[in-house]
Amino acid sequence: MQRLLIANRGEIAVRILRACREAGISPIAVYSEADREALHVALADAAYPIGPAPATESYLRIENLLHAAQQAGADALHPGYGFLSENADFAQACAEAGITFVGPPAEVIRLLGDKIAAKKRMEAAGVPIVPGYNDDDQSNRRLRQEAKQIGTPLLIKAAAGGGGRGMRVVDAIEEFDTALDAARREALAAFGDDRVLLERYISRPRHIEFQIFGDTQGHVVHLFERECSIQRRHQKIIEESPSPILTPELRARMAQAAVQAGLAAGYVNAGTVEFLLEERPDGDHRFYFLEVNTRLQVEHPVTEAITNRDLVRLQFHIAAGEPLPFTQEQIAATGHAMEVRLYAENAAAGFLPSVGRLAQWIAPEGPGVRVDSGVERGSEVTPYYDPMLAKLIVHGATRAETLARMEQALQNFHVLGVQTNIPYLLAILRHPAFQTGQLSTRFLQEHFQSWKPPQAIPTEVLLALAAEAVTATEARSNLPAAALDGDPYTPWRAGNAWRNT
Amino acid sequence: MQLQFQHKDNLIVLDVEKDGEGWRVRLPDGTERRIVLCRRPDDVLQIAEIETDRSGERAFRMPFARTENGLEFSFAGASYTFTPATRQAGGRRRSASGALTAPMVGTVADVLVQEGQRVEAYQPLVIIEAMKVMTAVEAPFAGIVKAIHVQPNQRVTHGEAVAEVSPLMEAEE
Repeated sequence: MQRLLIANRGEIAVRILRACREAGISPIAVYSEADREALHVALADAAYPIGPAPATESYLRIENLLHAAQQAGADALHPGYGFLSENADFAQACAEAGITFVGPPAEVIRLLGDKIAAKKRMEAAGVPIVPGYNDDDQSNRRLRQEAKQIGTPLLIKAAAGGGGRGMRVVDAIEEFDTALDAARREALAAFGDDRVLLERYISRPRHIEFQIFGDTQGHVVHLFERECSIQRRHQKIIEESPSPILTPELRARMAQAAVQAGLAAGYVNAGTVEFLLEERPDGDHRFYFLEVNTRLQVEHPVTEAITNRDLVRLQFHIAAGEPLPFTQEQIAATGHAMEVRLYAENAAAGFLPSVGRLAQWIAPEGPGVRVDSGVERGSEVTPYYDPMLAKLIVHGATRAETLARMEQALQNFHVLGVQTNIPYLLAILRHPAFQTGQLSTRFLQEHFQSWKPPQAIPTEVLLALAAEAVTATEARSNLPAAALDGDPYTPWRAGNAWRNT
Repeated sequence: MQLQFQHKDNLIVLDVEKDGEGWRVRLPDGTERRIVLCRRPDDVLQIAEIETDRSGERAFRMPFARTENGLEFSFAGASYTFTPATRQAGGRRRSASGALTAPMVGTVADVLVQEGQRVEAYQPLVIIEAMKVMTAVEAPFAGIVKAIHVQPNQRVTHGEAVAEVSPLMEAEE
């Protein structure tokens, strides 16, 4: 691999670009009309326009991306996450064009992308699955009948889905028809496919996933788990490893199931096997296969932190046809890592996306602190794409140390010009249930349903407001006088940025 | 000098008097603080609060920006935006007129009703999509759809008129 086209934008494009540089591969960027000034464009060796701002006309256009790859003379392509990363047709089109797709083969993506087919394959391989209905008969009558069989609460999910779209919880069977219509409509709009599956809804599950890697020689290994139970509307916002709930024994069993799932699918490259964990008071927790994400995950830095391995470099290695450079026994995890996702959104106003220019962007620093972002001061946050601005990842010796480090890092993350979810993230981190590791995917509904940001304004802010307002006023009205009075200590004197102490 | 600002729905009043090389600031809670502005580039203020009973001082930094939203500050994991008090005096007014506007910049994903249609309170009328997030513009009360100002796939900006609903009683009269 000499020249690699990154078919993505934002932080993940920048992340892949850095790995390319380290691996001696020439990185090629693509950009929509809205991203002409974006960071990933400026960091690449070459950048190609792929269409107008809406993703459906640019980052989701296979022919535009392939055209760019051919123009650039790229021999490899990394899809990142989101967009076309789990699109089997895209992987296939790359292969047919003689471009190495950094990800699993098209047939693996196709198999695992179809939730119905994937579950059947896993069930056959002995991987535990949630009781439910996932068959081809999609008639209302059959679905309703199956729903009664499974019982409430139950979940309606898009067969082709992901990211929570096309998903509905049905609490009472009378609500089933309405929920089915809504789920189908959303699934059709989001994926062009209105098939659904039903399953028993585990009311307070934990979301625990295992990072796996397979090579073309048929080996599959795992790189431990990530717990991603903190989700808002099925979107993960905090991820960590190790999971506070897993015992070594349960971890080993789940890891084995994850590897089994990978082998059953003929998995190659980076993938994530997601499980739901049903906590039981007697400690005999049950886990069920959820799905396999056939891409690099947003939260992959958590695994990088605890295993001290670069997953993107590893992806390159596998894509080049090399065998895994280590055995399962050679992979060890150290310490505790956690990631939070920083979104441009207004948590106080129904989490509406917040757009605008980043008037201020100061990222935290220090030992064990990593920030992956695709923006900088002056960047424009547009309404066209996912509102995630950055990922903040911290690593510490213990969970307590990691939590303290994350709290400090978030307090030292300064973003102005758009609203962010930093206050929301901080409130979650400080919640006693989070601190003690009592997590579930219902966590935010249970503890943060009516959350409002604190109304009180800290004294420091009021003092800064007074200082800034009064100096701005003085600078406007009294500038000649201040400049003439000869007082070198006058802080609003022209050109006097520092107090002489 | 008295400074007045709006922060969300609250009026913030600060009394500031020059005091040697710094100022004396009277806060809304009635307490008085002495501060010196140590550093004033265009992005981060450094302020020292002078302790009256000792010779020590406590300095802190405050990233700030003047944006179209107002004067914004970032401190300890939260941001605060202040506007001149005159601009929004009296706080936010809630419109009960049934003239519905887009809550954000986005694209009209779906128009679910037609003009003349009877709708229930909180019934979704128009779906607006931004960054993959769907937001429904709902009827504020039961009524009749008087007008729909948008069509599917149309781009809308924050505050743009989307639809109009007239209350049921008024419409029936």
